Amino acid sequence: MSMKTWLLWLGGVALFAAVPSLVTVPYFRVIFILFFIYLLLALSINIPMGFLELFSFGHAAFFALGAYTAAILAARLHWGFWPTLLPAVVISGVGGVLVALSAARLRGVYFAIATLALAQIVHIILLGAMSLTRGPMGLLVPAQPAPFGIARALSYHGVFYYIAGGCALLAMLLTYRLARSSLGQTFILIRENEHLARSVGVPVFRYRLIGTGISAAMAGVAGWLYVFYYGIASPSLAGVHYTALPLLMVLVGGRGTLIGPVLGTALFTALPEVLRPAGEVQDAVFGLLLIAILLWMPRGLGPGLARWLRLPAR
Amino acid sequence: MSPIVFYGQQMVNGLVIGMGYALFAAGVGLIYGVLHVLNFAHGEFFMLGAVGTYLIMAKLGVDYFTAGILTTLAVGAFGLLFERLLHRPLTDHWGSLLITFGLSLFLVNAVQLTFGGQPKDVTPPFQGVLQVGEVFVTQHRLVIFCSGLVLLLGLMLFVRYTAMGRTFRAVQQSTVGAIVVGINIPLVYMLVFGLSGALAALAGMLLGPLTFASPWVGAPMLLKGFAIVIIGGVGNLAGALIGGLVLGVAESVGGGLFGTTWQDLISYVALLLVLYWRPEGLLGRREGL
Repeated sequence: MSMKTWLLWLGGVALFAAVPSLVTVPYFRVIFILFFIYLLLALSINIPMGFLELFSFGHAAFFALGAYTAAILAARLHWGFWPTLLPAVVISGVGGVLVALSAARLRGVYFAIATLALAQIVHIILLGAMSLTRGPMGLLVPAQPAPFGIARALSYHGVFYYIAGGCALLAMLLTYRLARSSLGQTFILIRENEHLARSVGVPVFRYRLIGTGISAAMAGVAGWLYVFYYGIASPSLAGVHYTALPLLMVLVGGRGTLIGPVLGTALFTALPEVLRPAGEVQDAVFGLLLIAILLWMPRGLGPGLARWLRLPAR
Repeated sequence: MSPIVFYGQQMVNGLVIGMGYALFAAGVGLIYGVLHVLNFAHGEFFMLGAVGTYLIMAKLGVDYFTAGILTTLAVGAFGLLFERLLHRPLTDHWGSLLITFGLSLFLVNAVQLTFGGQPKDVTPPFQGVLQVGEVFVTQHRLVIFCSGLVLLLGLMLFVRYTAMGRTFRAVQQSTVGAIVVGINIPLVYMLVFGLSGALAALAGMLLGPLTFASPWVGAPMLLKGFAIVIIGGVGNLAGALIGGLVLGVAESVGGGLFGTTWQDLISYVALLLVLYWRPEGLLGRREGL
């Protein structure tokens, strides 16, 4: 990594660590934690969308799978916070692989429809399987003992800030390393010229499986975080809202890049708060924003800004 | 209730809803066939048809038909304008899908703001009920079926025998070829978008009294429309008709047997199965509007 990039990363981490001491208003802590969870979700959808040109219109399904796995284990079997992480990741990752198995052979547009349909199916099942998920009433997750077994000096929000932030940072690191790894380069090759990839023997389908699986697992982690922070899992987690948000964040911010999802997430986490006095117009504004970006900055805000600051966008 | 009556009733209801689905799917198929684009906001055009009919009836005091026709024309015009102003400038391959997604978000919210989230009852002027044996058919349902059938048949004739219809088919078969013979592609795109929007709104007007008018009726319709188009074959109007009817009946029977909670699963699972095994559709070749 160049010196500039190193400094950026260090600066970012330092800033991240310092924030809880600087920001004492609890409201902002909540926003930050939400930001981290959404960032994780956005980065997760960034992988298929940016690196593989696979537009997942049903990503909320993985988010919900992770959330509900954790919630069911915690609420019904009384598992703790950390033990539920692995099952959540595994179940959502497997879900991703299953989705890819059925859909990854399909050309772009059909993949989008298939993922949309699958998300709807998950949504309906979550609503209907009352015995397992309590349907629309949602599943309450019992409050975890505050320190989660780690530091005792921090408050609940403080600990969660570091956990969520840590996960988000790891995801950012993963995206960064991915772009520079042979796996990532293969993804990009498949995206740029599928026929060429096949002609040199790249098992395209298998790579799509891997990409979707990783992405789904990441979304599952976001779901796990969400469910323990907010204490409840409801079927709406598989709904349009949680698919649309990461889509918007990545599209507006710039897909395939690292800066893009970060910017996009910041924008779409801040906007609802800014629009809070007129909360009902949120989606309309988002829709218009998407249309505007598509018309005037199709690559997203991220690449535009990066060029302006002469920074590597990835 | 004897099984014959039960299935008979479900089938009748299913055929009616299926006709509405078929109209809607015809629009989806048109856009995808001619423009090779999936209109994510198509469900919202349907919703506008239902909601618009209600609003015009309520605010202007006109009758059901006039309100419906006005709404259909308005939505058709909107689709036309949308294509010209917002869709044409797009260069990115994925742009169409995404911009219509943005439009869909906007429309749902906008309608929610002006119309309110409560589903409203649209009362059609037909209140009579027919009875065949022990199966009941409301007059309104009969009207839906017949008018839908007439419209779709008219559409098929239009596409097959008129100059404009031939133009649409030409563009569907080969955009490059169409340019070569001098067809005005941008104009065709605009007209098809408008026509398809009008079809969706028409379906909304007809099905509105059955499904209630609320801002969110669009989303499930969209997937069902896709399902029908993929099952029946893209751009194939006869396929849309048959696919729509089949789906409607399957849903109705399934809903009667398993309960409405799981009803929508039928179309989604059907969609996935067809996508996986025969993306060209069960009725075969992509050709032929």
